[in-house]
Amino acid sequence: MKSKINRILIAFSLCTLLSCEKDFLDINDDPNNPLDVPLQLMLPSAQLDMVGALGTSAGGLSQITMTYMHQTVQRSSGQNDYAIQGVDYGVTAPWLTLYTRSLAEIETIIAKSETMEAYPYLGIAQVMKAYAYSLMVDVWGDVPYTEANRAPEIVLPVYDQGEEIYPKLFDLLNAGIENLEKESIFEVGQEDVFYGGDVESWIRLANSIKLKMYNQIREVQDVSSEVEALLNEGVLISNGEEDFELVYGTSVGPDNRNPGYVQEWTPGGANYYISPYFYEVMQDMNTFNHPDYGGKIDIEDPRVPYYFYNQIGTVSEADSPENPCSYCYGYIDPNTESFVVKVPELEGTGMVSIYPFSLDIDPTEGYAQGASQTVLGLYPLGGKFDNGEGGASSLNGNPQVQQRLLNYYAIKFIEAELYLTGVVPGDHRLAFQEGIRAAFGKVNEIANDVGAPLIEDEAITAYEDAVLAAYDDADDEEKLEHIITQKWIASFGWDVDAYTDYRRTGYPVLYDPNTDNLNFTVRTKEFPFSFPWPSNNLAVNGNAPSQKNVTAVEAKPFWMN
Amino acid sequence: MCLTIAWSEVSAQERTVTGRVTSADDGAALPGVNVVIKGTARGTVTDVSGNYSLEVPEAGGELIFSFIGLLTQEVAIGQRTSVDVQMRSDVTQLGEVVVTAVGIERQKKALGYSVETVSGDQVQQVSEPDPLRALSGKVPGVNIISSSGAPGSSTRITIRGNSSLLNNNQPLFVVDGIPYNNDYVTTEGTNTNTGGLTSGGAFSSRIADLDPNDIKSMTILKGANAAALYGSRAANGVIVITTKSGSASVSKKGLEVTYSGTFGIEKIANLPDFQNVYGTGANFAYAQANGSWGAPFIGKRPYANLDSIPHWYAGRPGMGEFDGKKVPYRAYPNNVKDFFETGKIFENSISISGGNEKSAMSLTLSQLKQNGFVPETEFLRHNISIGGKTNLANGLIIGGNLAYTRSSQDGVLSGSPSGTQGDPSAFGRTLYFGRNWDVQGQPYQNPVDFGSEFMVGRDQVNNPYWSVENSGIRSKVDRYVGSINAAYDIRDWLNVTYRIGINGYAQSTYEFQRPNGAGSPLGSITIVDVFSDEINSDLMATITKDINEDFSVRALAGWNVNQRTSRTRSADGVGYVVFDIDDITNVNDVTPNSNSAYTRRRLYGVYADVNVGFRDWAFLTLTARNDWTSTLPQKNRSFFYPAINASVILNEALDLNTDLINSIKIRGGWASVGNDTDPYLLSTVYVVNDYDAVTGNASGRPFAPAGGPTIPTAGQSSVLTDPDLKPEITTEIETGVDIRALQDRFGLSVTYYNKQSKDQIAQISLPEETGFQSQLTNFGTVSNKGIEIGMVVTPVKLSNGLTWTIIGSFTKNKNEITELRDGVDEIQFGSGFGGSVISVHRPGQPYGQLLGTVNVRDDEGNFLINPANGQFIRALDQEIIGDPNPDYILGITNSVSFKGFTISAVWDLRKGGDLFSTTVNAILGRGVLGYQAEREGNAILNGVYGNPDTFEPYLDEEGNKIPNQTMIEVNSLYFGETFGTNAADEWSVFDATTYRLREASVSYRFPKHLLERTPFGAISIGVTGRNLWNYSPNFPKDMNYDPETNQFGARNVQGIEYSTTPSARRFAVTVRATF
Repeated sequence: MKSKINRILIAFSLCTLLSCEKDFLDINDDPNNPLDVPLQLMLPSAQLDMVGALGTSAGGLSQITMTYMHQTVQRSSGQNDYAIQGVDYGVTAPWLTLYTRSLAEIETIIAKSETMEAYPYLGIAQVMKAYAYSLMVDVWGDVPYTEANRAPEIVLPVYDQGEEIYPKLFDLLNAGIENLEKESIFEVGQEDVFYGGDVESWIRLANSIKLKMYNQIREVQDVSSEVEALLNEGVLISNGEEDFELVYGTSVGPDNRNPGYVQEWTPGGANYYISPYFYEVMQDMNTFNHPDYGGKIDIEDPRVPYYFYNQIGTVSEADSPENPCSYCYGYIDPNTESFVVKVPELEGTGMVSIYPFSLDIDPTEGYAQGASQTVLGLYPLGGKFDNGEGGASSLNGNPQVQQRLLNYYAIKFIEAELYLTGVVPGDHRLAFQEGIRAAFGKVNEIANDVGAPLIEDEAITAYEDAVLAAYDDADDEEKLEHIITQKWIASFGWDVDAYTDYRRTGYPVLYDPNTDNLNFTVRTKEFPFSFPWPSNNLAVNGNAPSQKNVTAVEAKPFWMN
Repeated sequence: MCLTIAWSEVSAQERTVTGRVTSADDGAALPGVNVVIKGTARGTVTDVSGNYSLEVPEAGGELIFSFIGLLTQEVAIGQRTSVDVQMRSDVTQLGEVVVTAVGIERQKKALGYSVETVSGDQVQQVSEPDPLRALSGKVPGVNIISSSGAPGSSTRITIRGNSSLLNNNQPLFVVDGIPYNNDYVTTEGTNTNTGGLTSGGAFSSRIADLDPNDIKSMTILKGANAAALYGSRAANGVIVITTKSGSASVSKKGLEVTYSGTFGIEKIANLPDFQNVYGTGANFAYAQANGSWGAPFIGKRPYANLDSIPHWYAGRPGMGEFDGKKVPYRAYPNNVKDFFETGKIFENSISISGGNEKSAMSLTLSQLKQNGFVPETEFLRHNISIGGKTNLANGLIIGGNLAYTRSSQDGVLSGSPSGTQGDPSAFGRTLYFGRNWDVQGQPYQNPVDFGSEFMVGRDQVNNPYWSVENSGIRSKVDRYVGSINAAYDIRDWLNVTYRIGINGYAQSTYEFQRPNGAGSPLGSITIVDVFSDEINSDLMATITKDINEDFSVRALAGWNVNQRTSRTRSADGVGYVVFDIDDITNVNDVTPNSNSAYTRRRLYGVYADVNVGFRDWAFLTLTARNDWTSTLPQKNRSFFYPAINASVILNEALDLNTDLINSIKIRGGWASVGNDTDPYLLSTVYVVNDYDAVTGNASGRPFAPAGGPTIPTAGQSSVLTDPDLKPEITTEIETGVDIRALQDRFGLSVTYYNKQSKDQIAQISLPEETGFQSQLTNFGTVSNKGIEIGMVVTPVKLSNGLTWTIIGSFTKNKNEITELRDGVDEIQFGSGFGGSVISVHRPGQPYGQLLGTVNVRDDEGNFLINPANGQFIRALDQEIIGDPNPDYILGITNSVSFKGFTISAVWDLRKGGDLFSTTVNAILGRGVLGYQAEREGNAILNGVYGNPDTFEPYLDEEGNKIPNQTMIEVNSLYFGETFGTNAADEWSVFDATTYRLREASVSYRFPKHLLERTPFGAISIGVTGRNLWNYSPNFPKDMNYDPETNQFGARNVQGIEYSTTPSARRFAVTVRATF
């Protein structure tokens, strides 16, 4: 009996031991995720991530810049007072998304498509890379470039000076154009979410990016011949159809909606108020002694109902805001139940907002206005056309409306600036006029897409005439102010370039709360010349510079005087 | 040892000795006692009546009677033919036999490391559904933090500090020899670091499936020395649990039935003292706002004149009845208190055990139903366990057990659950309701769209009554454990044992928010289904041999095979169709999410453990193990780690036995434990249709633009991999002394340890400009050094039975991240809101420091004050604002017993350790705290004027700093760049030192003589209170705060709290009866 059991034990041990052959442990290949994927899957990922990092939502660069450019006011945020920190989500998230997602994927596409001789992919990736880096230099000044995205060989990339990155971007754009012009058996298709694989559009975009970049450095470098070549060849974005922008979808799961829309048009969810300054510039108002800037014209802007949406309509006392309000016609005081008038000029407008620079100072600033505040409308992020009847902003807008990046109107305003400043000879007035036309055209294009009423030609012409009349009366410096101011108004919803234009030219003139007649608006900080670097990366990169003071001269991008 | 029952093969048979073995305590027969002739291997065991019969040599000789837990006796036979023996319990712990790694039973004195054993009774007495929480304050070296007072919520346990930078730091649980998966599954997945922030509930960790009623004992193997044989996962210690069903043993009686029943109630442990002077608003004027900074109530201040206000719901769609209606403006002092209910616990358990000298079986049936003090919270657990063991006639011993547990948890949303907007949590405002809010007196649901209605805007936050009813988490778990084992004595000194078991669970969890509430206007549901199992087998050969009078050998060699498999399926659904059907089929859009995965890992190892004893007072143990793992690269997949430890019983070695000193044991050891990693970490991958892994700012995938095609995508993982990963190694030195003195009325055990965990496999942060957020590689060293002191004192022990015992437990662990990688100053981990507090490792500092925003100070430490507004100035960068690690933990248990009564109380003190609390921040910011009734004045912040751009102090003409003279209203102290709302994070960090009366109980055991004529063998009844009192001196006055809470449950992120469920206080009555 005993020996029998011993034999069973030995046999059993051997059997189980035999199962430990080599294959037993060779089970470590990830069954869930691929090690490699085709270019068709990578390209749209890189594109969507890039727009997410740049656009007007919590993790995009356009959101903070839109507040700095006084188009929006954020409740309960130091960013109203030009405060910005290296830990702010609007600073860390774009950097993260750009480097670890979009640029990482772009570098992979570049490497793969070079080997495969898939030139259209290569060209598109190069143009995208140049575009992304140009904005990163504009926003952050110095950023890692030559040693970026090269892990594991380089794990502590150095930061390159913006001044040295820009020339490389021109080279990259030229290489991109070359590759886009090459014959290839590969063809980019619908996975290109910008242009559906149309190489001509990409070439126009590449040239337009160059034009924009040359314009930005025109004061620190002679760019006449380069600009002249670009304008003569004319392969630029030449109408609104060719704009560089991302049209979103309507699906909720997966969420393909414009992320800015999702953020601002969730019931009661709006994070952003409309800046009273921006509103008054467009409405030809001046209720709080904001600067009577040189670009001012005496006409109400017909784009207002496309830009801003009043949840409480145009009625006043009967439909006052839910709580005491700050920048509004008035409210019913719950203590006395009488109507308190705040800004008489706003009667009948339904405008409800707060002032910038008033955080924790303005006693009527701190109340929730989720159901009554004016929110960002159709044009900037896909809200609704404001027909004056009011109604809550509760996911009832147009989630597919595009994130604009580089548009025909901007090209025209750039041309106007280049002609006006004598970089190249040309008709700056005509370019300016075409820019205004194109800006209205974009609003109407979006309105048309969603079935909203269009701005009538007479209204456009009247506005254009008023602006041009003021323009004609102005000297050259004031003319530049007109151009940049119009560009700023048109840019609403895409504010990175506006932030750059302001730092380059000083226009549009921005509101300074310390010279207004409001004692509850106090600016304690100076305008930031650039964004701080994300703190988390400085801590883990021994080759990174130490954090900058964004109001110090050293924080100025190289193209800034 | 108990497996070495000798089978007599004696040739010469001279005479027979018989006898009966009984218990000295109660005279009962003792079956199963080993009776061996000294100096031979010849022996027998007593039968069910305690009788034995043994053939012994012609003359003289001694019999050795031994049984686990009883004092071994040696009795000279002389010329007798009958030898009866009474055996006493072994009260000297050093003589105790303890279960150590892989089920080895060893005398405690032979161990060179410290081991703690907690009996099942101790676990069952305390009416605590979670077996881990019952250990709080009782075991030196162990740190237990419960995540909240919600039923079924997870508990985090660490032994001797955190040693893994980013991976699991909790001990391995081994139940009846099979590892017991203690994963923490939330709707954000199971990762040790990420998640926990936006998943909205107090999820359970899977040890909650274990039925405390079935626990026979828990042995805590604290260090690497004790745990090395378990291999890879033992670096954090091991909790070895023996269940009744898994260890069916021969019973004293033929059949014993134990019933245990508990009824308990629980309440919220603490609430702040509220002010009831001012209602909502600002600047002493009423408004429909969150903060109670508005007008005073009539009679509370001389000028108060507001007696009514418009109804909160006036003007809301669907709520027309309230238009134009007014409500009184007055305080509702109990509006917070009345939200909470009295929770109830019912627990019933029956254990049946029986058998004879050959076979035994045990069965436990239990049910637990716990309703929490938060409405709509529930934890249910049903358990059935059965086990048996039989000695076959051929000498083979075969045993097996099966346990099935079904547990379910209904929880509410708490913390900061995800929502596109607003706060859907049940605690969004609950602990700081506006003082004039008639929350209980008003409806909470809109009759038209069924959405939430609340005193503030309905999109800001859900009415808590609506939230608990219409959102929450649900979890159902089916857990199964089964194992069989066989043992056989090949020789009387050589035993072979084989054990194979499976331990698995299927968990189905979902988090839901019905539509038209804050957080998810469309209604959303996230489901997570996890199927996980672990198969483990051990083949062991044991040698037990006394080589000669002086030397004994206990040796073991084993072979372990382990496989773990897990499948997770998870999806997000948006857009409820029918309002109140909480199922993924009831939504318009369903998207799979990135938690879905399949993983399988395998490991096998060989191990050996040799213990050599010298004259029963010196012991040396050598252990070693080699593992082969599937998860490391082929060239590094095999790794070896040895350990050595020794103990000396000093008093016996030096012959120092006196009445004063009963025993002194000194011990010490060195051990190393290797560890592998998780599967599939060797190559960087692409993730199909994913976007949310990094940030949520880009569009969802696949992407379908308006009017366009659906475009699939694939994105690159943000984790760089290392193809040359090697195993991580933890080494630990441990030394200690155990003293028993004054006839065992004084016992002291002191242990010092120094644990170094090197070459950790973890994700080290990379600068994002590298293209990756982190690299998974070997790096870094974490050091944990500490002292554990256990003490047992019996100051009073009278002959009439009055006994007073004090048990003390002291834990001090000093943790330090000794190195990361060159050029890397810190690693951030966990998840925080953009720019808010996050956990960080920095070299030279303790584990998981809190990094947050701070205000600027000048070089002398003065705060800089912004002259424009009289407030502080925010610094550019975050700094360390807190250390969540406690300085020490002290627990004292007092028990007095007399004539069947036992009164006992457990006090504990957690000294130090910081908590970032948004609850406290919000209570201050909302102006509801008692002392904030004093607010009609101005304040000046201490500091000097400074420049908010340059952060330099302003100087007057003489070059001196200018003290702040800018007055701000008291109201403003709690807004802006000050202390409350919108303030820097540093102001919301508090030292969490807490004194606590953790438990108190009174129990009565009926005397045996009263039960003689009844079928009962024993009856006891006890009343227990848990968490009866706490005092946390460093929190603001009137807050009455209990900091024993943690947002991130069982994760590594500690010391952060976002409006979690407060803790509970519990009273329970337990009846136990044995038939």
